[in-house]
Amino acid sequence: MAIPFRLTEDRSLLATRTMKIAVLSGKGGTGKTTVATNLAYVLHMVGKTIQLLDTDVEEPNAHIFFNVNYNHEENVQILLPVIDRNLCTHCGICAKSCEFSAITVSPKYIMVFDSLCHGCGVCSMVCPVKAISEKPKDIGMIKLGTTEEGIIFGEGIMNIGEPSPVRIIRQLKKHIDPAADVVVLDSPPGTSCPVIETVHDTDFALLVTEPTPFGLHDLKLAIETTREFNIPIGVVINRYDGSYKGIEAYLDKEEIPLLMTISYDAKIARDYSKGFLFSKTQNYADKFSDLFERIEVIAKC
Amino acid sequence: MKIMIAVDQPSLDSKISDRFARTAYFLIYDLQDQKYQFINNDIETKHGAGPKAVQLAIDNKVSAIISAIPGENAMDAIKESKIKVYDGRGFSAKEALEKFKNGELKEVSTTHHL
Repeated sequence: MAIPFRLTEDRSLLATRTMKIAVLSGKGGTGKTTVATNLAYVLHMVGKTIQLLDTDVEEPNAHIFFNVNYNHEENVQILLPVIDRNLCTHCGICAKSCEFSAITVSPKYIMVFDSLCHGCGVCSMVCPVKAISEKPKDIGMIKLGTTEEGIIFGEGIMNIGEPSPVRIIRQLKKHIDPAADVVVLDSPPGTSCPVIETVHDTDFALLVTEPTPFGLHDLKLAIETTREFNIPIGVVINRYDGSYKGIEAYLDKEEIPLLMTISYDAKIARDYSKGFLFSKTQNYADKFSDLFERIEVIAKC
Repeated sequence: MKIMIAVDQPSLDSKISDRFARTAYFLIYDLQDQKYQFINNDIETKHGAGPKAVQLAIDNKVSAIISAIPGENAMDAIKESKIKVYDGRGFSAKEALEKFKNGELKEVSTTHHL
């Protein structure tokens, strides 16, 4: 018997819906990469099409946990202003227009601070005598590939000395694969522009914290930041031994779901230090599957 | 000749700020007519505070800055704009101005903190 047309249509809609999960933390070293890599791996093993993107382009490390066969590389560039000093009238409009104070103009001199420039191009647009042209500068690269298991993988790498990874993250996210069921984004730490760029246009923010006052302090900052996006959030407590209850108390008060805890376990730390996914050998595959199911339920509400 | 001084409070008795570009106030003092004004500095600036502060000095036709040691970007802009910087650490604005007039302040030529 033929399946009614509407049903198949609905199914195809479901199948093409890619769920993008940003894994972030506020505090560094709480276990973002631990959660992102193991979640990606477990979901891949249960048959989902997974893409893992490492947006921590200042120190990408998700690749350490996989054998990645890279098949694509591209440069990331920004456009820096170049001043034609014969044309410049020192009117100062470019300096006043620059959001980042990357240009200083005096009656005799004009100076561009390449390290402050975000490459927005507004200076060349506002210059009344067209004295500003733009030259491209490499600030990093994107590497794409597939892991040995078959996880679609991508990472950004920022050149040493560059001040802002935002453009690299933005370009990396252009490679989000619409064929993937789930895209896991391993965010940089903190709550500043690179994190905002990572969380932008995702469906769920998975916050990883540690059960310490430091973890709680930065978790609050990360939650405040994430709430600006109006996307559902959930929390994972890593290195959990039940002795510090501050995180749970805060989550209860704020009605934020605690989705999973990872035990404070020397074996997990040893696996991590060897670049080994602990969900491969320990009883965590089910826990990560459950974690994803809870995320799905929350995200659909 | 106009002097720009990075100060913590809008007062001539204020201590020179520990930081140049992210100071709370700039005092612009005209040595000719002894007129002065305080400029509220935007310490929330996330990027480019150094060049922004130097731009303020240029726009106010300042010839010398008295402050703590400026950061690298500020120092580059200061050098390019031919403004001189003097180390005013440990003094009040009033004391620093007196010392400046007597040529007793040390000129800062590098961002390396001593």
